[in-house]
Amino acid sequence: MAMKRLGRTQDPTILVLTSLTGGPKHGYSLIQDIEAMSGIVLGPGTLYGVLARLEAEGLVEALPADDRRRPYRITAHGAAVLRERLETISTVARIGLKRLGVAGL
Amino acid sequence: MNGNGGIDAVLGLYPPWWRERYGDEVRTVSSDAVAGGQTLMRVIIGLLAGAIRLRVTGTGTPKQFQPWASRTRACIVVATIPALVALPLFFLTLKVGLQDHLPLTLSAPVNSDGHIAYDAIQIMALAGLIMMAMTIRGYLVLVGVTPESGGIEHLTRRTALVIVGCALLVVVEVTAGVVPIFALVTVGVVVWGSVTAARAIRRRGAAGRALRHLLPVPGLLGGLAVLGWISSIAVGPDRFLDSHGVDVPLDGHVALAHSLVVASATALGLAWIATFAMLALLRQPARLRLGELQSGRRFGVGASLLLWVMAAAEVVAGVALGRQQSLRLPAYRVVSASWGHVWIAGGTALIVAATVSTLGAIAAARSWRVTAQLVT
Repeated sequence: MAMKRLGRTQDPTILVLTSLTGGPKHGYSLIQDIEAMSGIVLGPGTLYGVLARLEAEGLVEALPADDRRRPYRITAHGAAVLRERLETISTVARIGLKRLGVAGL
Repeated sequence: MNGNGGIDAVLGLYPPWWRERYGDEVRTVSSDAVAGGQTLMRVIIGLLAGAIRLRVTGTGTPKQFQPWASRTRACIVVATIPALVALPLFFLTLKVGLQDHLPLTLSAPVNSDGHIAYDAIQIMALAGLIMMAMTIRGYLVLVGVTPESGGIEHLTRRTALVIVGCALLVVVEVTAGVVPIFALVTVGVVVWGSVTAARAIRRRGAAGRALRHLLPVPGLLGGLAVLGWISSIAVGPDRFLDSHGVDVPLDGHVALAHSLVVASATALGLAWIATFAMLALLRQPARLRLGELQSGRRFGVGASLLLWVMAAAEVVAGVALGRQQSLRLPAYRVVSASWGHVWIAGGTALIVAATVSTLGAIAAARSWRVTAQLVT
């Protein structure tokens, strides 16, 4: 239950940007990739709320639509922002695991 | 409603720029998500939450005047709609909560709590009257029926005059305790608002057939309501309270007066409904100017403040009346024994309405600041 609660606090922005580092994807591919990557199932409402914000901030860009499925790709600025966020998370994770006494750290 | 209908209905809640940009994609992805195992209900709830989030935060709205002007207008609607919903509830509360709605007199024995409750009801009524006029005017601004700045100034002056007139009449009513005057003022404000709306629409010259037929209806019905009310006062009985506090009619035609009051109230209600039907027909998108948005924003703030005044007055009246009953003091004659539930329900509805209105007004203020920056 506690794990589930923590899982819900995952930032969908990070999930979407991370998914797009694997290459351009359209909406439903993003949902599937994020589920495979993190076990979190994003709904279209959440996904497109995030995509609209990321597009407005210039972190992702839309590619020409294929049928009614428009692929998105991460921009250089988006990649830089993601790298910075992941490094912070990574540092926090490393320190947390060390303090928890996880072997190998 | 099938799945696509439900999704389309929820997508209708998103701003136009968003629907234009993402609407088709979201429809496709939603169908894929449902086919892939997500429940339709979950998809719809997610989209609904997304629409609310987007409306509240405005995230991703293009930095252009028109989308932000539309957003400001939507926020102003959120700030003023609760007033439209709360007003009929308020009058219903007043009617159900009052035992002898015509005539209300101060001839009954009244203790201090009764006076407090009576004054609170007057404050609430005054706030309701001002708000009624303001919401009609605010809506006119929002639908763009007063596009000329000169017209706005003229109408604003007239609004101020009517509000001052209403305030003076209510002061007379509080002093003299003659509630039929209050009723007439209420009718007067509705008639004024309706006639102003009809004239503004006619001046705009864009009235369709349905609208043209509807234009004279509110004023006509309001006029009939005034006539009915005055007639009911003329034919109604005089009353006095005997030593046991029993209301004794002296003479006059009770049944006829009662029928006239009911007919007037019905006409007034229909006038109110016709006014909003008329305004709803006008709901085509209008290209709003910054000044009109600013006026609308002020109306939203005013409606929000007045709703808080009404909610506070209703709570004060409820507490005062509760004290009066619990102390088994001679009850203020005009208040029915079943006031408790009515006042609690009315107070709660007003507090909810005031909260929603305030949130709308705050969002409108923020959105207007961005809109003002984009005008240059």
